[in-house]
Amino acid sequence: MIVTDPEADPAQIARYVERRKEVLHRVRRMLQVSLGLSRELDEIDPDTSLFGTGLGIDSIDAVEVVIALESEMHVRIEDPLERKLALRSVNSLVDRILAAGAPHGP
Amino acid sequence: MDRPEICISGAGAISAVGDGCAALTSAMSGGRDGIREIRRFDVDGFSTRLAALYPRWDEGGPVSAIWLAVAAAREAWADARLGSAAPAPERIAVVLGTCFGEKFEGFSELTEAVAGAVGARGPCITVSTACSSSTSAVGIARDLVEGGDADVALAGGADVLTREVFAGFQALGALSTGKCAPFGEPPGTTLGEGAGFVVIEPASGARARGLSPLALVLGYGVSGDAFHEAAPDPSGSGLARAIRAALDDAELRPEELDHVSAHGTGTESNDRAESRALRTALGPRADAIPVSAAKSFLGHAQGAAGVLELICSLLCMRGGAVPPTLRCGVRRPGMVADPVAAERPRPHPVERMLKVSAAFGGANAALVVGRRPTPRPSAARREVYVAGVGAVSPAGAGLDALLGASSAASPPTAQAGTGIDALLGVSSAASPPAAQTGTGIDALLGARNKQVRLTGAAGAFDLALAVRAAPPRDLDPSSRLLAAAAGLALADAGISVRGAARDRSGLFTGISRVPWYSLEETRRSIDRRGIAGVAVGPFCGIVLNAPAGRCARLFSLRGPLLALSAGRGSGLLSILWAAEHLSRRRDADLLLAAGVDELPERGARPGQAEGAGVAALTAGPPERGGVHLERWAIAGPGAVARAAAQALDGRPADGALVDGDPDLDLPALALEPAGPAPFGTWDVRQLLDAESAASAIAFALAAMAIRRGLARRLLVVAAGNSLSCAAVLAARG
Amino acid sequence: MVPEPELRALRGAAGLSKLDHVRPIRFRGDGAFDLLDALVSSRLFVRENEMVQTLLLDPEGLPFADAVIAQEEDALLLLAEGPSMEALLAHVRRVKEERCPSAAVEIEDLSTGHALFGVDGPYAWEVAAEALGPDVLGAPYLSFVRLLDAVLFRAGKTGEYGYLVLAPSGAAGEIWSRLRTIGAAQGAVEVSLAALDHCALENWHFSMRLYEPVARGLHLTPLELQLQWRVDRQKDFVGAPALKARRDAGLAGRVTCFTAGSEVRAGQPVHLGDARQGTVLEAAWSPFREEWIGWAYLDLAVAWPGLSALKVAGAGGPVAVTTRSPPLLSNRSLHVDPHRHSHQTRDQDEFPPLVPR
Repeated sequence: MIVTDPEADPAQIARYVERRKEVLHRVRRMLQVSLGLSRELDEIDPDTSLFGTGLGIDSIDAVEVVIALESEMHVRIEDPLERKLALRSVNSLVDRILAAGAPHGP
Repeated sequence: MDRPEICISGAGAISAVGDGCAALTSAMSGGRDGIREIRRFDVDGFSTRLAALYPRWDEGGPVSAIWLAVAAAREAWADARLGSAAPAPERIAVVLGTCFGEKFEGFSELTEAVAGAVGARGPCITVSTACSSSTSAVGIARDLVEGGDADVALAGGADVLTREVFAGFQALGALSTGKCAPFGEPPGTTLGEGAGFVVIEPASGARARGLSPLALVLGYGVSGDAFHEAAPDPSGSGLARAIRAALDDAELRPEELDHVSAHGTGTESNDRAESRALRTALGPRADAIPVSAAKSFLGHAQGAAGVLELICSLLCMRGGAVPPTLRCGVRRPGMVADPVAAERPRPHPVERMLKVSAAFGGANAALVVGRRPTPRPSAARREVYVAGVGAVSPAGAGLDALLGASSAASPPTAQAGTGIDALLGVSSAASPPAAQTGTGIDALLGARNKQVRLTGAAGAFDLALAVRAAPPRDLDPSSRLLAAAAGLALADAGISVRGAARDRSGLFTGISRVPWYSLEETRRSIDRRGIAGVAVGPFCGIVLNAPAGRCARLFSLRGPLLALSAGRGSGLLSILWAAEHLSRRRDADLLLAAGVDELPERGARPGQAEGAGVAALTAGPPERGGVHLERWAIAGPGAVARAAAQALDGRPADGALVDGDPDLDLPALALEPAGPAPFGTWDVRQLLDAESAASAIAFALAAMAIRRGLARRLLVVAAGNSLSCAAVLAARG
Repeated sequence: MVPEPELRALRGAAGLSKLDHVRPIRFRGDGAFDLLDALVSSRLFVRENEMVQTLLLDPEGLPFADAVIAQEEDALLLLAEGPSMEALLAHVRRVKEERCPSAAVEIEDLSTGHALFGVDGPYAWEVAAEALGPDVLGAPYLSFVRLLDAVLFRAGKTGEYGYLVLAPSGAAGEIWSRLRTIGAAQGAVEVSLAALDHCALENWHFSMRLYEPVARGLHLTPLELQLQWRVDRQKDFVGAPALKARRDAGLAGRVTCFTAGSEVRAGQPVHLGDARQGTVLEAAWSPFREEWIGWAYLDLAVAWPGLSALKVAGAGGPVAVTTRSPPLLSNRSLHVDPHRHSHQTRDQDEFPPLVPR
């Protein structure tokens, strides 16, 4: 997970937060579409769990999410354990995408 | 008097091991499977390169389900040696199971092609319950013959393997990295293709020709899981229910079974659930008899799997043996005790066996076949009632909306007060249009011009009106239409399905086309993301029984689940087949039966309408209300007058509601009013043109009319290229 | 401080608990659904033998109870934590009066005739199955099964396999003793509510006890608490108008997970430089991560994982904290497969580390 500098000034923090917001928005939209959620994007809290509790997705949905992650976010996770951990929550997906250094997208 | 013995008098098979039943026998004797590396399409990037394809099309070819089906059907037909003893064409039925039809487009067309090849002109029924389709097809064919709707039936299944389907299963993680090893290691399945058919007829007929039948069809059972889209209920309870229903139908105890032909795909979830189901249904017998998985030879032949695997067992049975399950070296923990882990058929006398099939969307089917009959006394048929009806149409949710839709521009019709005009055209300047209350059917109000036709997409509706709490995920359009209409039908009937009743309540759907949105989304996902990026959610939605499966889950209906297709008239077919099921069996008390049509965004017929019609049928009169479904008949295409006459049985009707066949000569039916005033005859296509749903909506309207005292007895008729069917509804008492 | 053996049992074997604080109420009748629908914040889509996790809010939109609702054959079962049974029943009756006075509902307080136990941990399924029957193994998450003398609900708030057992008083003693005996052979110990709540904190599970007193003092609603997944925006229920008003006014902050190298406590302020950014809601020492963990309510500008510039004004001076994406552990239960693993073989079986890299 990316952790910003402890000496970061408010401007640096703000830039990091903007970046996270943008990726969060894209992840929310990706989940909404690939899972057919009947929720508004802002109803999907960033720390919402994906499996079991939270969004309550199942293994079939997980496949969808992984495919969407690869094709839309261009993030491919080879290691099954990493994949499991990346899919734990909306924020963990955001973390993974940021870690991959995914380019800015539409 | 005992039920007549119905037998299998011929078999035909086209599979991954080659042409004909001879190829099956040879392959099993030689321990050779039909699983090879795929050269027909590109499988780079997939976890496996293996499949069980038809050998002549290994490199390519006219990959056509029709081709396979016709070839297998011809072999079966010849094998039965009907010759001059063949009945009149209109007495020969064809029941075909398929997952994906001909290129996702032709379902009933596939069955009609087989009918044409053998000269059958009786009813053509297409069953599409994913992987259990052909097992159900055999059972349905048996029921048709036993019920007298046909003298001989050709039953089976066909599917080809396409790259899209391969990709879908791959994405679901269902494929083995090696050749599938049912009950063994490594877990996973191998896909295949093929076609198989059996000829079903009364045993007396076969014997009269000097033929020794392959086996007798003794029992058939079907159930739903209501668990998950693409994973079986781990408790196996749904499959166990289907097995028990088949045993009950056969009047046999588990101890009388000698062999099981398992669904045995090789995936962990299936094999585990299936082992549990066998133990639940058969008790200790499950671990005392050989359980073979023919998919180890033929791969998973999708819609043809059930019938091909049955044929494998029948061929071995004839030689006093059971098929082996290849590659079952290390048995996974918890699997059945004897999966016949061997390379060659094992000598083992089989008097009676069980064929089991499970499916996506949880539609389970089981057959009991045997060499010796069991005495099965004919049980009295139960009376069937229409307890409630519901519909969705371009006018929105509810039959009210359908009837109340008015056109301000058109003047009210001149006639009012009786018959169909009363139902459709009552105009009263003083009465305001009915307020939409959302549940049930209210007294009819408002002007409706008979000339106004409903076209296009379903009117907007709130699913919560029909379904108490809508699920958190959006439903695909077909499922949404079906759920709304089903919810309204249940509300109209005042029925709330709870507890043990859920196991005895089911859903039959008449549906002619693949759910368009799901297919479109599947294709778009492949376009956007490449073949490996196929969207699994929509992929699971492209089998015809997906809407039924989703609705069954929504309402927790775990009873019989079927998806039938017959082109125009599918809705009425599903209603009448549900009636047949309730009438002759004791495994269900409530069946919702529907016709549903989803409007494609592109390529719709001009004037095509979207909608669903659902009838809630009960065995025995409901507490209040209810319309008696007196008689019904299913006949071949073009035989609508005969079907109608059979349903009327010489008794007069006040009128008729018709879908299809503009040449139907209704006055020739000599309708005589049974009630106070003539009802008239009316073509529902004046109201809406929906291949499957219109006939179901016509049925619903007929039930409504009787309830409102506008008629005492009405005929409902549907006619299409696959079949004709007719039903007579009558007021209670 | 929570005894470490209890935490180790919950994360490595199983923990057994007496759940006297959970209030079971059964609702029967045609009006039961509508009444519960008015009481809880989530869409009440629940099928037979399944459960949903939800909240009961007060008219100000603040959590009044943390609950699950289970659909039985002929009734709806509410299992709620937070208020006393008295307060809960009073609330239910008040809502019935106000919203569905003519609804036909029978409300049955099950607490006097029943006891509730918890079995939580990566091998909880094994203890439960041996004590109560093999049907335990087939139960999916958020479903329940009827066993001979009890009902077993699969839920849990620790991030591990978790089961709740509802037993009639007559059988309760025997069931508890069976759980203890079988559990003892499998490394299971009795654990306290505090231990369960500690695990909830580590796994970002909401708990009424983690909400009191600071979060409640700050009037945090499900919107700030990141519990919108338990809220149906379209529905009318107790507290809905207050939530709408809060949403329309715009959120000022959000709860955020954090870790810290030294002790921090509930109520302590959080700063970025000199500017106050929020408050610690609750914190605890995690023997697994070997650091302090907790949740804080932070201003929206900094309520994001990955920040390490924030400081808590601790008792002994400023403590640097790092905001994180929870959950903080790679729970053993994520990797344990009841079909392959067993408590017996846990030392030989290889699992990924509890604390992710």
